[in-house]
Amino acid sequence: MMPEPIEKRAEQYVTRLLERRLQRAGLGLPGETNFLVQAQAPRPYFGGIEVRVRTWRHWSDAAVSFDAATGEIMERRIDRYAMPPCREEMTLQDAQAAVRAVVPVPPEAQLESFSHVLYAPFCTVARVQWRHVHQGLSVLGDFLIAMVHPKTRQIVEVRCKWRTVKLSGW
Amino acid sequence: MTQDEALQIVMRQADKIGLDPMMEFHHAQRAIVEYCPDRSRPGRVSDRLAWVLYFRGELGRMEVQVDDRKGEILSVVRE
Repeated sequence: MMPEPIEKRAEQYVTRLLERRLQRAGLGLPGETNFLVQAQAPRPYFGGIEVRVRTWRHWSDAAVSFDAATGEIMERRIDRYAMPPCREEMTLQDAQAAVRAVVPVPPEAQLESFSHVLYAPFCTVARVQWRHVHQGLSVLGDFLIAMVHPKTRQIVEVRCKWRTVKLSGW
Repeated sequence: MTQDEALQIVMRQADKIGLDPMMEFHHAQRAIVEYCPDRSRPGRVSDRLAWVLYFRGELGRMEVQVDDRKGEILSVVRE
């Protein structure tokens, strides 16, 4: 039986190595191999030959949405920040502190709800939602929602619609 | 404008705005709303102080916004 080509063996070795390291770092689930490896042609090396392996990894899906009229960011998310898998919950105070460290929460923001939601399989995140209250009146349609990883305190997602109220003749 | 006055304006125009007679008034709130003359197209919006009245019936819900100063019906949303 012919042994496997050295390029193939190099790819298998690097795949195993990366999988172990990613799992140890809490960045990958068992069986998750969302990276690519590609061996290059063998080349001379003193004492033998070497095979270099290139790797690419799909780290995360991410998205940013802008208001077409004003250019303001309405939504931004990095799915990977929902990792590592977590079943823990966090307090409202901790969640608010984590959000405020990164996201400017407007002074007219009033806390509307706090909960924990399943963002992805096995990945629970805290969800904090504020509403806009201007001089005691709700500003309908405005909101600020942030998702926080309970353990890493990373902001997974922020969604915001917030306008500067201009009431004419009021 | 009071809540009752806003409700009277809506009831007077019930046929025009398509308010189902089987729907009942549920609650209202005075709030700042975004007003856009033509919601079917993108365009400039302005802020209006309005009474927002909520109606409920077996066939669904309806939300009517009434301008607090002019009494104009700003928006009708059916669900």
